[in-house]
Parts: sequence; structure tokens; C-alpha cells
Amino acid sequence: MFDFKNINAPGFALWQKYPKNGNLIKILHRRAVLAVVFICIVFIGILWRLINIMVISSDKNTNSIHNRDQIIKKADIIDRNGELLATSITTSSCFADPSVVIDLNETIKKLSRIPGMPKIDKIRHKLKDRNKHFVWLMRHVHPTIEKQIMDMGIPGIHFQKDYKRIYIHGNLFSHVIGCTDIDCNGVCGIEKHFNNDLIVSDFSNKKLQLTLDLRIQSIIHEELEAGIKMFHAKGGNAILIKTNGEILAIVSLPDFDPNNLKKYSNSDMFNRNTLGVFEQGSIMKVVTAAIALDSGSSTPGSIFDASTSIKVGKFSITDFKGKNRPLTLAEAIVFSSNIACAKIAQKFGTKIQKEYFKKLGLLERLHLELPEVGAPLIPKDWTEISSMTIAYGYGIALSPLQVLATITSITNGGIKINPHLVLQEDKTLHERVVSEKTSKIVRELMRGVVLYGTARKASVDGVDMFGKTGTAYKRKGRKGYGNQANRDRLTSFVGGFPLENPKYMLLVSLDSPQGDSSTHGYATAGWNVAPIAKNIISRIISLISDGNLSENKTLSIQKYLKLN
Amino acid sequence: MSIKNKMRKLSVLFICFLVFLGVGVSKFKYEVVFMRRTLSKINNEIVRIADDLRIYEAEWSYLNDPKRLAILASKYLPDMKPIEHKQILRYNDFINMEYENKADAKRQAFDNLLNSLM
Repeated sequence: MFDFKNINAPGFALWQKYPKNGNLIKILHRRAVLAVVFICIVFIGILWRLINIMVISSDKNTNSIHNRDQIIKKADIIDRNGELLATSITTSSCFADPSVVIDLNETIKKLSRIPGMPKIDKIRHKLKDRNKHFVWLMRHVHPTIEKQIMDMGIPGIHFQKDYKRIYIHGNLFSHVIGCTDIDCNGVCGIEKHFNNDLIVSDFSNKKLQLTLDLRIQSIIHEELEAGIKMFHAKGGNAILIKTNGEILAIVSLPDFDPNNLKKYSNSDMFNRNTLGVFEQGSIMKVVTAAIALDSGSSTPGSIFDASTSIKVGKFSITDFKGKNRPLTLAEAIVFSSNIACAKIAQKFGTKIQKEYFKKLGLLERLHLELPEVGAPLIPKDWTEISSMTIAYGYGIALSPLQVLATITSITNGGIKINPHLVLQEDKTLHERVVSEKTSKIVRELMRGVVLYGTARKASVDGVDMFGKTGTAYKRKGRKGYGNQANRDRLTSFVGGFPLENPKYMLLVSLDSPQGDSSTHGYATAGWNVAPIAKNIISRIISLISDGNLSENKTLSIQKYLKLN
Repeated sequence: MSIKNKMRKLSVLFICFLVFLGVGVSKFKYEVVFMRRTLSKINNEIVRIADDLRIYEAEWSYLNDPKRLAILASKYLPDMKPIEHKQILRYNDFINMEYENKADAKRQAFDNLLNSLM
């Protein structure tokens, strides 16, 4: 046992005064218990406070934090040359903390005097819940108004940094870039597709570079707008694409200004290039010719009798300004014969047609960096009659971009392309859809259309262009195509240049153009979209040309054409 | 030296050490707080300048809007025309082209200059 008497320390002498042994231990024990109790009380207090902060009051705190977290900054969007298309600028937004507002009526009275503030009832509604810690009062406040409110010094009214999305070129890229809501969340277009990827921190200098070219987009927009006005069309669309799949310009009219959405309707926001699916008419004859040549069922010189119309049930397949004689395959394309094309399709058959359509990606939705992509409408029962009508562009509805991508894949040497909007490193395309020989012949057939056929008005001096026009009657739901008198047309031109080694492909379409005295009453593609295509190419050629675009070679298919 | 003295010296040394540590930690803490404030100020300044730059870039882009430039060009440069594609030649095509007028001294001089550069 410990002997207290033998310890020489001064403190221990005092201890010796206490009653010995049992009493001293009891006193020490009591004090130890008191100390433990005290420490426990302190820790319980701390624990209670922690629970209070983290669990009980968490709702109140996260309410404000949650709202503040919604403030997002989005990366700039630039074109292929680095020109700014969309950016986020810093603004200031006014919010209230109703829990600390002292005099509600006085606050409402003062705030209602501020221009741009919500109405009195709305402010009262926002501020009446005193348990809330955060409500927006006014977003993107002008600096002078911000100062006015700050000078009032109203308790519970604060400002916070905010971001506003700005689209520099207004409606020029509206359908492709899209727009955001007031919190900078993407609503449509690229903004929606890359919504999360575009969110950046304050310090980030990240930019999203598109394949688009501001200068070309502007020219095409201008020419298409002029064309719509000239031919009194309801709308129109145009796409310029490089033969490796990069989209240089994509315009759909009518359009909208993403900076000010209030005055536009839903129809203005409809992207005709990617979301709209239409029966494309005669431009699909290019696909028919490619299938016939590539499958080996026909040659450019194969003859098909187009002297009489084809009767199918109560319908008949006829030609517009037909030659009424047997035509070679080359003539069927150059003179755009529905009858001959139906017979070409009849020759290679439904199975081959479906196989090629699948290979060309025409039976599925196009993969593009936009949420607004329409799925093709294909026949449920793909019969022989379906094949015949599809051969000249009826019975299957495709988006203009999908058609352009398909025809580009056929004419670029036969390699399938994936149209895209985001600039990426050059990828080697290797999926072959038709042979190089077929591709060359198809280009020559399309060159024939520009030289001797319906696309003569698209011919640009000094450029070996190839192209094909298409005029399709618009389907009016279950009513079919309407009466001869009130039929609406969709006119299209698809073409490219230069002939030998094509680098660019263009598609132009007009919705319901009208004929007038300048077109001798005609409202077909050759009279309206072909001249628009010519104007576009004439203006953009100096921007994209790297030299001679004409070699004036004699066409190998020339011998199969009888030009009278 | 007795245990008592040893304990006293150790206690004094321990207290001195604690005071020194306390002052050191406190100084270190305030230094960190100060540096954090400085960093925060610099970061805010960076963000402010980046915001300003973005606005200038947006303004510059707006001023370079093709439609606006076309209006200005037609107003102030009425005699100028957009370049035509025929005016663009590949270098080899240019070298190989036969001049209509071989005697044209200026062209010949330019041709000689190009040959000398090759």
C-alpha cells in the first residue's frame, strides 16, 4: 500500500491533515465524479449544438445554398475560326431573405417603386413566408437600378453575382446553338445537348468549338431569306457540309432570336434541317441510281421504258414534262423520270433497296450533337410498290440533313460520313457504302443534271458543279396530297463541287414556294431553289476555294444522253 | 539537485515552451489568414478581369457581325467588290499559265521574281 508519510513534497503535508485513509479516498472519488459529470455536460452541450446545426436547421440553410448553387456559368461557344457565338456575361440579381425583413409593408412599398420589379401582389407573395431564407426578386438587374435599390438600404434585400447567356449574332445560329432558360440551363440545340459539359468554374477558359463558319452561315442565311421572300415560301432550309462530315453552315427559316424568346412561336423554333422529316422527291433518285449501279443490276446505258405511265391500283406513276420514250439510266436521272426510276427500282428489287438503305443509315435516326433529330418515317410494309415510289422520293420521309449526309456518302468516293457540329480531330472514314466507280458515275449523272437537266439555273461559271433538284408534293396528313389546285410543294436542290474530288455539298429547300411571272408560273425546284443555290455558291466560293474548280472534262456518261 | 528543483525547472521550461508554441501557432494562423485573404483578392481580381475581357470579346464579336460589316462596307467602300473565285489560283497554275501578253514588262518582272525565289 502507498505510504503517504514518507513523501517529502509540501503538498502532501496538507493531505496528511485530512482524516486518514477511507475519508480522503471518498473525497477524491466525489471530486472525480463531479469532474466527469461536468465534462459530460459540456460534451452533451456541444453534441446538441452540432445536431441542431447539421440536422434540425439543415433545411433552412440548404434552402439558400441550394438556390445559390443554381447560378451556373457556361463555357463560350465559338465557330471554326474562333469567332465568338455565345458567351456568359456577369450580371447582378436581386434576392430577398424574408426571415430578416423587418417591416413587410414598408419593404413592399419601396420595392414596388423600382422599375422592372414584380407587381405588389407578387412581391407580397414572395416575401410572406418568413421561414424562407432565399427568394429571387429580380434577375439580371441593370447597374443603375442595383444602385437605386442598394441606396434604399432595405433589410433582407441583397444582390448576388449572376450570369446571363448572350448570343452575339442573334438569330443567325438560333436552331443549332439553341438557347437557355434564365438559370442558364440549356433548353434546345447545342446548349441542351452539352448542358452539363458546358458548365464551367469562374476560372475556366474552356470553349466549345463548332465546325460552323460564321461568314458562310451569314451568307446562306441572307440568300435563303431573300429566296423565301422572292418566291413567297412559308419557310426554307439550307446546309453546307464538307465531304468529311463537318457542317459548315446550317440554316432553318423561320428562326428566332435566342436573346428574346417571348415574341416567337413554337413553329419558329422548329428545326427543319434535323427535326423535320419530309418526302424529299426527286433528289432521292440519286440514291436509286447509286443502288442500281453499285448492285450491278443496271449500267448507265441500261434502258427503261418511260413512254407510258405506270398504273398501280387507283394511282399512276407519271413524269413531269416527260420524254415519253425509252430512257437510259443516265437519262432517267438527268431528265428526272419517275417512271424510269420506278422501273430501275423494280429491277434491283425491294431486298437490295432495303439493304442499301440500311447500309446508308436511312432507316435509323441520325446521330448528331442536337436533341432535335427526327426519326425517318419508313413504310410498315415495304412492298414492291413502296420500292417503286421510294425510288423517286415518295413513301419515305427523311430529314434534309440525313438526305444530304447520304448523298454526300455516295458522291465523296463512297465512304459513309457522320455529319457533326463539334470540331474534332480528323478521323479516317473507312465504312464504304458504294464503290469509287459508282460514286464517280453518280457525280457525272448529277453533273449532267446541272448541264442539261433541271438544275441548269444552279450552274456557276468556272465551277464544275454537280447536283439534283427535287420537287415533292407535301403530304397533308390523312388527306393525302390535296387537290391539284391547293397542293403545296417542297422544292430541294442537293449538289456539290468540284466534280473530280468533291469537297463541299450543299442542300437548299423551300417550303411551299409560289410561281410568278419571273418563273413563268412554275414553282418547281429548278426555278426557285436552283438559283438560290447558285447565289450561295457564287458568294461563298471565294471564301473556301483553294484554286481551280473547273477541269472541263467530257463526261463518260455523255454517250448515253440524247439531248432532245 | 533535489527533485523539487528539477520539477520547478521543468515546469518553467514547459510553460515557456507552451507560450512559445502558442505565439508561434497564433502568428502562423494569422499569416495563413492574411495569405488566404490576399489569394481571395487576387482570385476575385482575375475573375473580374476575365469578366471584363469576356464583355470586350462579345462587343468585338458583335462589331464584327457579317451583316453589320456588309452595311458598313457598302456605305464606306462602295467601289469595292467581293473577290471572285476566278481571281484565286493555285501557285502551280499561276506559274504554268501562259500570259496573253508576253511583252508585258510588269508581269515578266513578277515572273522573274517568282522564279528567283524558287
